[in-house]
Amino acid sequence: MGGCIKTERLEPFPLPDIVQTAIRRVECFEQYNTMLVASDRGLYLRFSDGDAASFESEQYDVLDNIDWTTAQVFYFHGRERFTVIEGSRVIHGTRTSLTTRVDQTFFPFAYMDDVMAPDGTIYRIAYYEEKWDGQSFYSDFYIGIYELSSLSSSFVWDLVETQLTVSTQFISQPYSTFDDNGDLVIATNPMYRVSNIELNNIVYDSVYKSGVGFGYSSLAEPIAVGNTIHGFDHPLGSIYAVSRLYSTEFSEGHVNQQSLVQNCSYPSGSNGPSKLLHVEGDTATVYVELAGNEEVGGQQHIGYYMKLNMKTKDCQVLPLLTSEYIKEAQNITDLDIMDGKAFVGTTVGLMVYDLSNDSVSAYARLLFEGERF
Amino acid sequence: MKHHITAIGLVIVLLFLGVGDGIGQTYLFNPKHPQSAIRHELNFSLFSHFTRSPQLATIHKVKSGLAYPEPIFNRVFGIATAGYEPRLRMIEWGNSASLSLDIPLNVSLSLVDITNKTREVQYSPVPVTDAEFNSGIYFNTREGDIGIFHSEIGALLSLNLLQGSTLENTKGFGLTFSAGVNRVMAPLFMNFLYGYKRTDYKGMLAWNLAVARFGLHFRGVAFNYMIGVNPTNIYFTDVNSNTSTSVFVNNYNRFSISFRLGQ
Repeated sequence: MGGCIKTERLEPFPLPDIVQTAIRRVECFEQYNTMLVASDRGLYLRFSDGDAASFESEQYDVLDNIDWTTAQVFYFHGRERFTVIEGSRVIHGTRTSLTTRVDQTFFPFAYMDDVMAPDGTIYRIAYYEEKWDGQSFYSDFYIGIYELSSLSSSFVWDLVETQLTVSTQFISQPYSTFDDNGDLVIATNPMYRVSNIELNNIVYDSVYKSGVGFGYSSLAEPIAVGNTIHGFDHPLGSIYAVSRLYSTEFSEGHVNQQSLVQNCSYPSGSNGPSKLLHVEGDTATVYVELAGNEEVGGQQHIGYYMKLNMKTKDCQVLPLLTSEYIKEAQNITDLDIMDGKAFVGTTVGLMVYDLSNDSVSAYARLLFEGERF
Repeated sequence: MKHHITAIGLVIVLLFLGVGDGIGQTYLFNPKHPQSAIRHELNFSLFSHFTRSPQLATIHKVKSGLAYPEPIFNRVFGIATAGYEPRLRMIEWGNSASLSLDIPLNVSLSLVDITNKTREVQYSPVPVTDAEFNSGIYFNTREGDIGIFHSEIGALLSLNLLQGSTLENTKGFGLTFSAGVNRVMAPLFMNFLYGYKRTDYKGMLAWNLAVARFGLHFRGVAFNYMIGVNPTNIYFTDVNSNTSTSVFVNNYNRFSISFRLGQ
């Protein structure tokens, strides 16, 4: 008789009330099916097997002090570890713990960018020194590759000095990414590709770029697809409207540009792409934020997502529609896309927008109804 | 090996009881003479009838940042049950063994509720509103039991041995082994005091169970025990003690006594 008895288990799961309040940040890592949601009440981390961890700001004061609009968020699947870097704070979140480190490393210049290597190492690319030869009109800024230290010291970044320089005339944020070969690409002008990062043993090659005017200095939010590097004229979500997409073969000097405004027919009420959501092959999906609802053909649009083929320049702009849960565009605080669904942070909570049929539901309710994302 | 020994032992016991004496000619059901192949029984039980439906819903209790899911099911406690059961003998082997199709029909004065293990939640399928959900109400409840009385209808295939197996058998003792399906409809009467409507509980008021039954016959009286054969044991964490507990659903237990009507 015992063999006929079926056994089932209902396991407790973290209360998603953390995501039932004003959402500050939503970051999905689609390839690993993981998600980070920051809200007024704390931090919610969802892992690939559907388990989640909640960290309430009542217990972790640091969460109240994070500026989530500027924080950089990383996820390393090898250790199932989220890392949030904002200002001098570095937060690591795992299934069971949330640890914070406050950095006292001195950075002489404000230009910097954080990037994660395929092996999970996080680097900060920042200028560490300015040198002038006494004759030239311009001086040179030296790029330092700072590695996020695993030691529990108050200096969390270990500097690896390099001979990589950027002239004053091209000084800009040293936006960086890792390419398919695991090499660090620093999208400054000149553009650098670093294949070995070790103290006193930096191996790199570089190419001076031209072709989009005298003013070209860097590619914001660079995306490496094979030997091609794509990027925008401004970082998405900044106060500057993004209007161009730059593309260049690493080994060539020429930088191509396309006008996103012309190719993609931006909605009139938008400021252009505000967040890079997803990259698959040559196609990037970006979120186009609206300041207010836009009525098109009798439908109320609360925002758009744009599929941009960076190689062919094809562009597809798709609307997000109003629903009982999201009535106003200005209610959206952030969103990201994973597995055909947009996880939309709003002023009242996290919503799940099914892009296939425009249906919307509250994330917490879907969890209670047995949905596992 | 253990099963073989048990089977051999059972055969020896049956031979000892005299089953082998009467096994000879095989008779099939003859529709021209149904009265010789049907046995009628009335059965009764008192405080010994209990069943639960499969899991119907999941509620979530919330404490200290965790949501604790708990199963909801239809729970039936039969206070007094009466039934009529025709037993149609399909095949008879001599006068000591038969295979019959039994159709038990039962009505029970029973307490019926859609509830959880501890019965402190009287579940309502009315969905919570967004406002309720956001204010921490994650499921709706009722104020009273869902209703009273329930009925059952079954279809069992039974192997009957000795007493009761055929019209001709005169042994004083008999055995019946049955297996089949039992459909439970609960409640028969919704709780009108609170205005509960059957339509609001669609899919929650009837279910089918796979069951098995063992019966002992002494002359015209039989004692039967019927049990659900594929229950589900659902483990969950108790919100108050934070310890693991479990509840059986899709189960059935009934002990009854039945009396033969006529031959």
